[in-house]
Amino acid sequence: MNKQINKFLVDLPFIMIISLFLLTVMGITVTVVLGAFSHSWVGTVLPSDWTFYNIMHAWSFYEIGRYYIVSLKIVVMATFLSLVCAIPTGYILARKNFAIKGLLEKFFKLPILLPELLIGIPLASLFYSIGLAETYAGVVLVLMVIGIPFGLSIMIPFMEAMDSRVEIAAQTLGANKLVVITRIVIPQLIPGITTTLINVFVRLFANYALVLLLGGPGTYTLTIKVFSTLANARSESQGLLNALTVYYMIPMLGFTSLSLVLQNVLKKRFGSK
Amino acid sequence: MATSVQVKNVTKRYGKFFANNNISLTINEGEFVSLLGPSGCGKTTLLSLILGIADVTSGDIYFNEQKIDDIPIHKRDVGMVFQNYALFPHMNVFDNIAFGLKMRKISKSEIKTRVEQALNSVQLEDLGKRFPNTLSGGQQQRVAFARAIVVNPKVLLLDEPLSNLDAKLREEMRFELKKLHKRLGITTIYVTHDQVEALSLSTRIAVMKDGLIQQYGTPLEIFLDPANTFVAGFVGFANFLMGTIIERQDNLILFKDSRYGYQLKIDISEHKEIDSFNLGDTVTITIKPENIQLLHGIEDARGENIFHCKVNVSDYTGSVTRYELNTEQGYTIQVSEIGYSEYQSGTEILAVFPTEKISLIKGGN
Amino acid sequence: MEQQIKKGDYLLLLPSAIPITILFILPLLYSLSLIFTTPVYDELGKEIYSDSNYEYHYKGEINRYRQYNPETNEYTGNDLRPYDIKSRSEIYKQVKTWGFQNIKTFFMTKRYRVTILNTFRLVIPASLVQFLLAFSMAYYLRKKIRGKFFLTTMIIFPLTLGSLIIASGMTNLFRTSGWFNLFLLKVGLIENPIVILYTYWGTFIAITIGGTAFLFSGFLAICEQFDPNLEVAALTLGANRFKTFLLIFLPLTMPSLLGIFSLGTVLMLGLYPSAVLVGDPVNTTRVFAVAAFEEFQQAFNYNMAATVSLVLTLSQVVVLIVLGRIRRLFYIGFGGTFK
Repeated sequence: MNKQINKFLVDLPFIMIISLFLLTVMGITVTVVLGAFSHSWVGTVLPSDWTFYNIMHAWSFYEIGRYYIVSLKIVVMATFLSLVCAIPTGYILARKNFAIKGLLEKFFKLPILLPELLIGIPLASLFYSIGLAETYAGVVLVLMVIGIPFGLSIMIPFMEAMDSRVEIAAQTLGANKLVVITRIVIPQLIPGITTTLINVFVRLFANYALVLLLGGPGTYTLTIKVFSTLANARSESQGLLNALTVYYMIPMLGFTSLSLVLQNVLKKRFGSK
Repeated sequence: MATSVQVKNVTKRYGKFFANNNISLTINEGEFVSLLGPSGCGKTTLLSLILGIADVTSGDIYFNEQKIDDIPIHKRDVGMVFQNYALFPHMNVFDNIAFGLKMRKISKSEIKTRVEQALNSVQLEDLGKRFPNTLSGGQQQRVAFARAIVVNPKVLLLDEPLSNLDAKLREEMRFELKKLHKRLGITTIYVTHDQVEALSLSTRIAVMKDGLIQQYGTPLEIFLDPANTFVAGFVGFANFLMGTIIERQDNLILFKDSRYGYQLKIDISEHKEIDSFNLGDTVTITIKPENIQLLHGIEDARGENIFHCKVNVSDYTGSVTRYELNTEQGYTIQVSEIGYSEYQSGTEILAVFPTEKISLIKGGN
Repeated sequence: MEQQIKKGDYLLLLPSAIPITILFILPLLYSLSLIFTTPVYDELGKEIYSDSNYEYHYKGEINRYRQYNPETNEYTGNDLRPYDIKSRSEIYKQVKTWGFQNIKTFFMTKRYRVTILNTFRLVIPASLVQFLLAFSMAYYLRKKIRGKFFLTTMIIFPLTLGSLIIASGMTNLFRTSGWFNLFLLKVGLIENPIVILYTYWGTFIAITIGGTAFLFSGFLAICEQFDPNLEVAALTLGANRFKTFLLIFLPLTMPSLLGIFSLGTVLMLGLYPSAVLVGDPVNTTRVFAVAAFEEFQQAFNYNMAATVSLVLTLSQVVVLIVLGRIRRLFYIGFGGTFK
């Protein structure tokens, strides 16, 4: 009995810290959702009256649909191109040892370590002078600067985990380079590529600095819309702002849970013994 | 039908390190050759060169009379079984085995019959639909074999395929491997560091060290007549003594050890190079622990090659009892006796080296 | 057993190397030219433009730029609207000089200089709090306990949310009539609501939530990989739980923990949305990024914006070096399972 009390006393500070942190996190999330579905909510534990007005009104008021489409166009394109670039490079970095490999790995880490401002400002200045700024191509290009390194950093461990002898085995059985890549490497990499895809997508979707610097009214993503609305509208109805945040939360949560589910499924399918 | 393999003056250099140094090796049609040696001896490098995942620095490799250096791996037609089997984790057993056949553009119906045959021959008829990660180590290994041989490769390469199995299964698989080679007759190159496997499976063994082939011969030649002390030690010889030949009568040699002064008689009638031993030559003698006879309770023994010893350590390991004996002069003798025998440590004992069981190696260490 | 590398394999590096070089290295070099050039201003304090033949000086009262011939030292009489000048940047270039003027301005002017102090005043205490929170949670959750998956997922959840949603949620939770103040009032700890939003503390809490989640995700892996047999060994040798933690666990995990910590701290120096949305970006939370965006978006002074981001980058390097030194003090090896 005494021992149990002792153990509880040792655990108590940890339990308190975890509860405090989790209560804050949940408080943040729950109040946004509650606020989005209520008219006025002042000084009470729960809102007094519920409504769908904010959610309905915010959709057209903030042009959510349009921003969804713009974000989707830009982020899908940037994610796709980043992966197309990162997969072959990641494969070589994971598989082969050569003299300047360590240096190259550091080089590819720089864009996600250094502040986005440092790249964004000169790039914006350059893109404005050659007319690329505020265009889809310009925003996609600038997002690739962080999409490629971020993709590499997630993908390389997956590639390193692959057994190179499996590829040699395929070659001894008569498979050429192309067949090895399409039938042996890519199928084994499906879990890794899926995870990378979702992570890069979420990361690029949430990017504000680069899109803010290089985008324009036609190419601002939902993230920029949310940011500028929150920054400039302290007098706007809290319910409406919450509804906007909810619309922003949906894709983020959707993709993250998708990634969790996929990881579980793929682990079962491809898991090692 | 079967393929011969010629390795001619092959050198593989990594920077300043010679992984293979001017190696020549001829493997005849249908032979089973083991590359035997400790890790780092260059056996895996030689296998990589024959397999085609590394290029030779100089020299050539031939399959029959055809040079293969410029043939890419996927056209070389070699079968390979890896130490960890390297099964395709995303394909089931059937697709793993069928892969090579598909690459050869063989019709679907034929692939089906051939894969089923292969599954039959490794006794895995019912596991075609299973994925590799659900199989045991032994089953995975059978799949790896089936996958390599179903395409009838010219040469079969095996990289320590038994080393990941437990002792009992290893023995079983060794036996099956022997039967398999007998049935198929594929020229096989087997990399191992286990002398028992090499001796039992091979038609010839190449013992390697430091990127060089130390001896290339039949298991019997290597077993009875090791070329140097390294080979002797590697195939289980022990109790080395260095000295000179001081007398010779026909096939009987009198040897004097240079450290302790022991004189030993050796019968060399079984030796291959019987005429190359002359009076005054520096030689090393060696004898396997299991060939030494132990005599206990004899007070005044006379005869040849007798050592008076004391038991230092005894160790019973199930099938044999190993002893370490010390002579008064400080010579340590390794002996094993079959079964259980009980001489406590400290027991005074006689060790006899039978004249015909001693091997003679030219030169010192 | 490894396949030898072929020359052609290096070509596969290019798909990443080319875009990164063009879109990252070249802008970095260009940014240097931005930092070391300064616009030239006329006596009215207005920028001067040039189309290589003429200069254009701003004429305040009728909102026009006057064409000026520097060779004859005369105004030609042709005037242009500001819109025509500024929208056609391919013809009319701002007149600039080389020098250290921007860096001098940064350190001489209070509204720039203050960003250094403000940033570090936020980041240093916040990163220490984050370290304590994240490490204690990761230490507690390193073993398999009931509900671990749920707890760890929830602790990392702020990473998914991102700084915008955290800030937006905080405006609900921490406003004077929000749950936080309501709870403290009910319990009786305070008599009047505390103002957290739009102050230093708003930003502090926002970055702490995000940063703790980031550190925790890295710390948990480190704590889980620590070989528990090392702890058992210490316990069998007579050390109590606290001594085991202090003498075995902490020294062996510290270098890896500090590695993640440096990364988190360095990234935090560039904070922006939390400073703007729940902080006081005019005073206490006027950090590097706030000043840089202000120069870029409001003053259109790319040179100054680039200078601010250079100082931000240099601050990151300083932090990395200092933390690297500290990390070396702790370095003795990592207590993962030997393989």
